[in-house]
Amino acid sequence: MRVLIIIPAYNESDTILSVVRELESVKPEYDYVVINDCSTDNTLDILRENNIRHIALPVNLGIGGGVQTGFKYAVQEGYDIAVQLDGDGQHDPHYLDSIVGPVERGECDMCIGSRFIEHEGFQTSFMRRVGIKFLSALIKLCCGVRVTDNTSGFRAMNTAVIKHFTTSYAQDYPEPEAIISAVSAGFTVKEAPVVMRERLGGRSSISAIKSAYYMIKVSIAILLYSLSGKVKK
Amino acid sequence: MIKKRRLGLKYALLWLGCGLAMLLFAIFPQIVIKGSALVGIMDPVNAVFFIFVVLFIVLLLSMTAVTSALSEKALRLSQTVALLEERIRKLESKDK
Repeated sequence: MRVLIIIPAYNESDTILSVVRELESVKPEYDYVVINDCSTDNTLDILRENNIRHIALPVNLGIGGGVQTGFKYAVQEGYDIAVQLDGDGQHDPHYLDSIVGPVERGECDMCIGSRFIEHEGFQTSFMRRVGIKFLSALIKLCCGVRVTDNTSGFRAMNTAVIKHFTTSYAQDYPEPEAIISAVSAGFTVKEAPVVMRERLGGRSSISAIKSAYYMIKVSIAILLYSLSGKVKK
Repeated sequence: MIKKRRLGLKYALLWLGCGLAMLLFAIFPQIVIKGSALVGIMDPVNAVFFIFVVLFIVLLLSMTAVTSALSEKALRLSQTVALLEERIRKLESKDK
């Protein structure tokens, strides 16, 4: 099985090189591609100088558009499995096997790395955990799937799901919506325990005001999905 | 503005329609007076206000729809450009 690791990066000049080098040493058999979302710092120069395979977006599309570009690339190059791995060093490549494995064995179509199953490692802030709990309940209510770490971007998926996402993928804060979208399309989504680290550098893209928007937007999106009757139970 | 192609003909028609409606009301105020009496609005001026508020909401909504469609197109375009750029880079490095 050919596996592509998609690394979205926006202004990650401090961490991107170490993330890529670690990935290379831990999983040399996996291909990877960095999606530079039109960073304003020297991320692109670092990628060029070190000859790292990358796609340079001409304009800033946000995380959704960036990752979707990676999906399109995966389809174009004929990969069997795509994995999203954040460029800030939060996701430990040692745990790639735990999320790629279930997809490889055909146990599910999409496997999400969750830090709330074993409760080990970085557990994020209290407020964010409350938000995640709320979204988890909402997703359970709407499509009957329990996803403990629904904002986790550390996820592996097979070709069918990738193709589904190339046609429609939420543009901002896409993670929880993507779960609903996949389940609605009849794909099976599972979780696997992973340990996450605190970000090595850079800042979270989610500030206090934005998090309110995040919750409202995602909630409405989830409700819309269930209202439009796309959810198959 | 239309001549200079700064305003697409499609949207120009929309605005022209609004202008014509306003002109019609100005020349024949009887339409508004009769119309407002028909639906039970006391003051015809309120009817005029109401009509234009509705009109503007429709215009704004259509503008939002247009920008949404445009940003969707821009998204697809930039993704395609980025993918093509990567492919060119790969092909060029192969040639060397």
